[in-house]
Amino acid sequence: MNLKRKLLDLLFIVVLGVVSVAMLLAAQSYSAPAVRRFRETRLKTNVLTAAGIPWTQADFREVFERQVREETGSGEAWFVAETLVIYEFRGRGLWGMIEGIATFDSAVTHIASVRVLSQEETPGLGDRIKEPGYLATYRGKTATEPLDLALRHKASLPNEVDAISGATLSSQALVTIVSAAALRLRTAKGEAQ
Amino acid sequence: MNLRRIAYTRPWRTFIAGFFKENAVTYQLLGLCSVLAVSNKLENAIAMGLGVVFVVTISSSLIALMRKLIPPQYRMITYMIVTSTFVIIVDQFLKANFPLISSQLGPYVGLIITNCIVMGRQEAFAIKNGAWLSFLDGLGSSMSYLYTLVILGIIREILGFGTLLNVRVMPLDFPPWVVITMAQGAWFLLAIYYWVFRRVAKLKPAEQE
Repeated sequence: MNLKRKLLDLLFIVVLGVVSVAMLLAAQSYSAPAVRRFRETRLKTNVLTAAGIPWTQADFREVFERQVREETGSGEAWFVAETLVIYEFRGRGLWGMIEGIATFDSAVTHIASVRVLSQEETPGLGDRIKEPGYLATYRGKTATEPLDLALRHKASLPNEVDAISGATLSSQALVTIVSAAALRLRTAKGEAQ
Repeated sequence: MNLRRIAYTRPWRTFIAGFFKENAVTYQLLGLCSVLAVSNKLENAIAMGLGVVFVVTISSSLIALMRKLIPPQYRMITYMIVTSTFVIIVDQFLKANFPLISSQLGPYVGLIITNCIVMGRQEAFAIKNGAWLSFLDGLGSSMSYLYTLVILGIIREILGFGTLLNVRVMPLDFPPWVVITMAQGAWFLLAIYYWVFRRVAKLKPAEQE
């Protein structure tokens, strides 16, 4: 194969790549505002649900405005609703990012609930970390020390949560993310007071 | 040209082969993973099916248009670039306009990239034929995927959730068949579907070698 042929092939791949990137950028800029709006809706409605505040599709923005207070400190931000503190977490799962919100009591000593808002774990195995039935295992666990995964037994200690069989790495990822979030929130809140 | 003559034209035969007898799902057995995974509800089936129709038709036509330019040894990478561009566009479109369907489909929209129907039609047909025929070939094959998903989706949503397009159609005391909403239950349904389909299409059993 001669040099000219090689250069032409290279040119073809480069042009194809440039065209494809341009199309992707166009698609991205088209969808970005709608995706942002959806994420805001998802966060607000989930914070309200986690706080036990009733809302409807029509009025959740006003309800959120009225009932939820945003506080900041040490570069962190968290929500306060009635006696609960709600904190957004985000961290690496097995394949992609796991995002969600964790709810604590006002002194951040116990976990009230954990909700996973988006994840990319293995369908059918790791993606069970998003199921409310599984997440209920976090309820009432301690927020003052790191959580552990109960691997060969049913979780019984205050700092243990159950693992999902077949998805130890995804379960471990969520445990690590939630523990780290609790620690960050406690530190930030402690310094703010 | 009257209708009977159309039935013997090359474009029509190209379309109908993929659409019916050489159906991507029941004859070529392609794309089964996503068939099992996303046919649990009709709205998921429609969204996923339309996504695949869009990706297959557009990418097959484009490959056919470019077929004389594509360097033979970079065929696969060209298919991948073209396919993934359109898959990401579908994904972004769903995220922007149908965020709930998008989150229910989860990773499967992105996995259209690995759906064998896409690359199968590009390599088997589009690289050797013109854009119009490749468009029809892609349309036929991907429509067969779409209607298979829709048929399974209707049955699975009615039996598994008691609803159709999220509107309740079964009486409230109808016990939902949980197993049919899972992939395992879908296998049983798919097997019955194959049986009926192959009977209707008069497909002969594969010849043993």
